[in-house]
Amino acid sequence: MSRLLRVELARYRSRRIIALLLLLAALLAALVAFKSAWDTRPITRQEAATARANAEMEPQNGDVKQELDACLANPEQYLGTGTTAEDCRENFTGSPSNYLPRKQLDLDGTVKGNGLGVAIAVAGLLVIAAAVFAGSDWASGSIVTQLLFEPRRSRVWVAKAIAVTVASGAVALVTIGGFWLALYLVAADRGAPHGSAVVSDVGWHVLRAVLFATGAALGAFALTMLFRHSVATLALLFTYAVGGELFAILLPVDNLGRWTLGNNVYGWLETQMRYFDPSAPCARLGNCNGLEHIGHLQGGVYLLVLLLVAVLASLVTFRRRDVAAA
Amino acid sequence: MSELVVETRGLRKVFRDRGRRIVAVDGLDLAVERGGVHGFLGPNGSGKTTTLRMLLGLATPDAGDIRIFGEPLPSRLPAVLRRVGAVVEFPQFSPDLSGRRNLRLLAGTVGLPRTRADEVLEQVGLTRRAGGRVRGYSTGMRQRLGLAAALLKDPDVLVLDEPLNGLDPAGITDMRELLIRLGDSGVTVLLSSHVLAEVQQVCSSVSIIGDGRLLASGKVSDLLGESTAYTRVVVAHTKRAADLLTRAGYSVSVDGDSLLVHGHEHPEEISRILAAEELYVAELSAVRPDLESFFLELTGHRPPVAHATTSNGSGGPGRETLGDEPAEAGA
Repeated sequence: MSRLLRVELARYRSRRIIALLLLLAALLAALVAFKSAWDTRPITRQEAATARANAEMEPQNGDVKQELDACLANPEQYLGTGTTAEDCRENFTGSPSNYLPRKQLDLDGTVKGNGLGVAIAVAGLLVIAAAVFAGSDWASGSIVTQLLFEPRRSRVWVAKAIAVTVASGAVALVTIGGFWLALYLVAADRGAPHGSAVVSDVGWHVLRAVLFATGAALGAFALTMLFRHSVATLALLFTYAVGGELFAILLPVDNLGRWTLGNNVYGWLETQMRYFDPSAPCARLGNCNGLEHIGHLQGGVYLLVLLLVAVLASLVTFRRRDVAAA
Repeated sequence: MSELVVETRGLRKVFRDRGRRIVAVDGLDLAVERGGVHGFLGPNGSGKTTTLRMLLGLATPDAGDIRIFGEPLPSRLPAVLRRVGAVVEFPQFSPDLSGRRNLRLLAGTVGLPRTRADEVLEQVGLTRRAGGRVRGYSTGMRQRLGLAAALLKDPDVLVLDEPLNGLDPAGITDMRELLIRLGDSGVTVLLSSHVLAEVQQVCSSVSIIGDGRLLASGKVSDLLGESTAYTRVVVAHTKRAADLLTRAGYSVSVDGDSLLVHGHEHPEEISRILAAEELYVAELSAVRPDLESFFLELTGHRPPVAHATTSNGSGGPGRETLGDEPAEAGA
């Protein structure tokens, strides 16, 4: 088995298009890390001075002054029950921080923003690479030649699957882990929050993101071995992802959003995934915002079940179906 | 009795296409003895490739038994395939990798050293181009690479599906010599091909199938011995010459400007009979049976030459048949 695995890893490595996709994943992660660092670069003295000046000038603004006076006259009427004159000042007198041209690097915030984007983009590229890896064996017909050397189909399937999993996992770890390591070093250098709580949140996110990208690649491999065509796999995934969202919006079924691919992916990756359920009874009555919650466990179980179904269907079919040349 | 290396009994394979059942192989009994080159012939769609795919575990039979080296398939497939090299349909490789890289990966699958790839590349004459990507290979080069892959395991049985396709004349000669050499060295080569003239030169025995069934099988010399040799006689007054030979007991048919006389044992007798009536032979030649004619007759693609007689009146197109009894030559 280790012999087969080595061969499949070599086969995975040897394909130029796969190498390009993996390089693209690394470049993308590096680019987003650079952009995140650049967009949160430290405020210069001149920018801070400008912000302070703008904040000081704000009360001079006629419109703002008029609003502030009205609020101070009756805070509760203006801002709501329980508010005081202090709240009015906070709301209508600008703080210098409001005038800063950009925000400080926030690792926790990045998990929901660029970090999420990187995880999904890397997973997408690994899905394409896995589909190409399996699909090219079928498209070229070389799977026939391979089976003439190793006719035990389960072993062939498993060796290929492990190769995809190992390679995808390594690439996901390097790209996503590299992205976060870079941002952590930047945060530490700038003195931005990077304590153990933040590191723990980010660490769990990296773990979930790597598992997601690896599982997605394995799923794409399994589907391609099932359909024997990479385009069929990508088309199915696209239809499932986009069509599922459309169904969730259009069909009058309760809580359909719980079962869409996108919501569950976010549920697994995000710290807290909330989605709007237009079919919720309170939403129909117009007295709630219809928000539902998908946690890591729910999202993870959903994705794991999909993966297991794809893997089992693929393995059983590959063992039983006749194999013909392309 | 020689040992059977490949044996099938009642082999059957049915495909389903849009609700239709297509019987590709229908109760095929195949027997290939150890050593030599065995031709596996049949028209397009006769079930050759499907049979080869079942022998190699790429397709599952719906019925029947397969034994290779006496081992039942598919239960003993892994052990059997260690001793079998094969190319089915067309040699299939990863097009983005070089020929050498493809072979090294295949060698790695079965634990062979990397140097084995170079040995077989040398054997098939592909060493110089082995570093190029397979995508850029010609059909002939792919055939050579396919043969190299089949030879990697140093097999006892070599199954080759149309290995001569796409080869240039020099390539065909090389391939022919290699196959003969392999057959002589004790390797059993099971060869499917449409190039029947080549098959006849290379194969010691053949099996011919049609519509998924075995039509004939045996040594080439034995099979062709069953088909008849003819003597082509070019002579003026063919009608009169035909009458004379028919009266002398020959089975004769007119084939354009010449006569086809059944048998070629006594050409001098034919010449003497005609000369006695002042009909002088311009040309007298043997029409020897070949595998192609035999194959075409057997598979129903060509009416048998001069098998029809005046008594049944079923001569071939443009051919007038005379004489109702094949006579012993020299009568």
